[in-house]
This record gives sequence, structure tokens and C-alpha cells, in this order.
Amino acid sequence: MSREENEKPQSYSKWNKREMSSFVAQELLYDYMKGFLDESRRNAVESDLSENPITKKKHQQMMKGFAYLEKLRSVEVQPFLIEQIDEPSTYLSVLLKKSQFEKWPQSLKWGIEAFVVLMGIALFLIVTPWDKAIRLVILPQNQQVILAEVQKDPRSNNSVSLSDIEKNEKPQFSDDKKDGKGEAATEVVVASNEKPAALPPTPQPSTEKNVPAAKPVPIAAATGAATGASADPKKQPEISAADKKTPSGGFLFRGQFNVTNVEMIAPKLKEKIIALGGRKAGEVEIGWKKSDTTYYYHFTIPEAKFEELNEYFKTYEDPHMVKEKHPRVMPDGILRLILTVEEKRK
Amino acid sequence: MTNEQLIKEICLFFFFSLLDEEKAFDAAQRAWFQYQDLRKKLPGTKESVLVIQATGRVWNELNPKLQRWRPYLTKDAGWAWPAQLNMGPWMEFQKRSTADELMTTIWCYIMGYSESDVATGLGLSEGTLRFRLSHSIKKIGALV
Repeated sequence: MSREENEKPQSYSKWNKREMSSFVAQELLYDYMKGFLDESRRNAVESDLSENPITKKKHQQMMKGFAYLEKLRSVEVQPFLIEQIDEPSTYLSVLLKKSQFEKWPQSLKWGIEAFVVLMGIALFLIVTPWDKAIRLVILPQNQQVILAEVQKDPRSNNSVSLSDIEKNEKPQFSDDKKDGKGEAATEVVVASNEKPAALPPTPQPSTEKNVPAAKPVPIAAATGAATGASADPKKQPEISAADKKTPSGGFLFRGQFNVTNVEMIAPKLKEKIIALGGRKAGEVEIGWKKSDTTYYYHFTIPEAKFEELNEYFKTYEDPHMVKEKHPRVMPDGILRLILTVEEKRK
Repeated sequence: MTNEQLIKEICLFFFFSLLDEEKAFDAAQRAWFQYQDLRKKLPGTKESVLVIQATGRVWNELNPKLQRWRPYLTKDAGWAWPAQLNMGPWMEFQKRSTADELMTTIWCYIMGYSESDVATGLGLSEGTLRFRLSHSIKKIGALV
């Protein structure tokens, strides 16, 4: 090879020139603007820029693009947003965001909140032990209900009226062994006179002439009867009316009837009472002879036999059993009776 | 960089990429927690690279479901921009561009990260990155 051939630059081009196409120049515009191109390529892009309007247009567009992106850097983030992102999110906050609770209608939000409040109140009312709370708060600890204890002993201090009666009255009879005097616990005084008076047949005070219409206080009636012998024997205090001052819930049946030939009939009555399960309830025996013309029966009988006994009594005469309140309480199913049988007056 | 600066950059990325303030907030929170996990796993890695990787993971999860033609910007959620700034061209670009072009443009030209960091974070070559950037710039320029 000759020297001239060696000095000629090696050409790869068929036409012995190498030019950059517009397409390549446009693709290299970014590198050109960033300064990444070498000298030859930079010159080629610049020459295409000056000659090709499309390349020039694209170059201008890219310039605008860079300028616009530079403006977008002015967007700022508020400090509270940074704090919110830094703190961990709770389950509730995530749930509210997912459900977009803020966009719900106001009425729906209020409805849900009211429902939640009502459910809370209902749960509180159901769970709270109100009976215990009432006992602790309303009822003080020192307030207790005490059941009254009824004592059989007539000398007990439970009832003032009974003790007063015992002191002031002269009972016609009793179950005491010594003097055979009568009931001291009864608050009703049959009469101050020695002869027992007939009991009113009905509890209605208006049916009896001498029975006072008012219901006298037992103490007053007792004291009034006790102070006198001057007490009118015809006046009979109302017995059958329930004495509201009687402390206990006990009662007894009191009856009285007159028969002919009481001495014959009295033992029969006694036998019948005992046959029906009667037991003496006081100190004296059933059918105690109080006087020549009077027999006294103070006994207990099963309630189931009471009707049968009453029917037996009626074969002689209706005893007109009157139920009276009495502090002495009998067991369930047991009745206590005081019956007086007298000789019928001719 | 401080945590506040990192969070700010994450917020801006999702603001420009999603154009939905509510979604951007959730995505930024998730990306921040991702970043904290990556920082523990890759202690020697550059912070900018970790931020790009964390945001990239969250973006890839959200991108298929993203409805790009429904921007939601109120200026009350925590992002603020000048009144004279026209967001229209960017909204149009966000709708038309590919996911790769969007991400690279935001990181390089809005967040100001270097091309080498962005390429490392996204797992690309620099040449590929520049190719995508050039197309993005041309598109934005045509829209402005």
C-alpha cells in the first residue's frame, strides 16, 4: 500500500461520509442537553438542530418539560402530615379509612352513634346486679326485719296489754293448776262478773243490744271490766272483731252453748273430742267442771276434724264458733278451741 | 437525612404518582414502614436507594388497581402547592405514561435523586434509565 492510502482516514460509508440522521439526533437530544455526548456527536446534533425544524421543535419541548418539572418541586408537605405518617395506625383508624366513614351521610352517622350508645346502656343495665346494689345503697345494714316471737308465758313482756290484763282483771277461770283460773294471755275479758256471759252469736255489734258498737281497746276493756264489779254484766265487749293490736298471727275458736242435763252430755262431748284427736291445750283437762252447771273445754284438734266436731256439737246446739285473734300461734293444721257448755235455764 | 426529610420525599413521590391524597397517605405510611424494615435488613445501603426500593414495592402493589383518570386533590390533606402552578399537564402525563416512566421522572426530576441512585434502587442500567427519562421529558414537553 502506498503512503497516501495509509494517510486517508478509514471510511465505513459507501458514499465516503458519515452523517447523523434526524431520528438519531432526536433520540440523542436528552444526552445532548445533559452533556453526555462526545464532541463529534454533539456537533452532529447541533447541525441537525439548526437544519431540521422537527428536531428543533422537540428540543424546545424538552426545554419546556424540564422547566415544568422544575416548577413541580414547589409542592410542599405539611408538618402534621409527616407526624401522622410517622405514628402507627390503629385498627379503628384503618377501618374508618377503608369504610370512608367521613363520606357517610350525617343522619347515618348519628344513627350509628346513637345505636352504639343505646347498646352500651342496655348492656350496663343487664350486667349490673341491681338487687345487690339496692341492698347496699338503699337499705342500710342496720335495718333488719325481726320476726316477733310470741311467748306462751303470760308473764312475758311482749305485750303490754296482756300484762295489764293479767294485773287488773280477775279472770273467771284459768288453766293454772293452783286456782284453775282461766286464760291470762287472752286479751279479751269475757266479763267481770263471776258468771260467764253469753257470747254474741255474730260478730256484728249491732245485733246485740248491750254490745257496744265501737271496738274497744283491749286494755281499756280489760281495765274497765276489772275495775268493776260495777261493770254492766250485760255489756259484752266485741270478741270476734280482729284486734289489730294483737301482735301475733294466732287465733282460737270460742264457742258456747247450752244443753239440758249437762252432767250427762259433758262426758260424751269429752269422748268425742278425744276420739277426733283433741288434746288439752291448757292446764285443765278437757271438760273441766267449772261449776255445777258449767263445763269448760280447752283443747286443740286437727283442722280436718273441726267440721266433724262442729256438726256433732250442732246435734245438741249450734255453738256459734267465733274465730278470735290470739297471740298464741298453733302449728299448721291444728286449731285451738275454747268451748263452754252450760246447763240450759228453764 | 432525617426521618422527616425521608417521610417528606416518600409523601411527595406518592402524591405525584397517585394523585389521590387519601391513597397517597396510606401508601406513604406503608412505604415508610417498609423503609424501616429494609434499613434493618440492609444496614450498609444508601438511604436514598432504600427509599426508592420501599416506594417501588408499594407502588407495584398499587399500580394494577390504580385508576389514573380519577385524581383527588383537595389541598386539605397535607400537600400544598402554589396557586399559579398548573397541575393539568402532570395529570395528563400521569394518565398516559407507563409506570416506569412515571417513577423515574418523579425520582430524578422532582425529588432530585441522582441517576445512579435511581438506577440502583430500581435495578436498571443507567442507559435504560436515560431512555425512559428522555421519553418522559418529551411527553411532558408536548403537554405543557
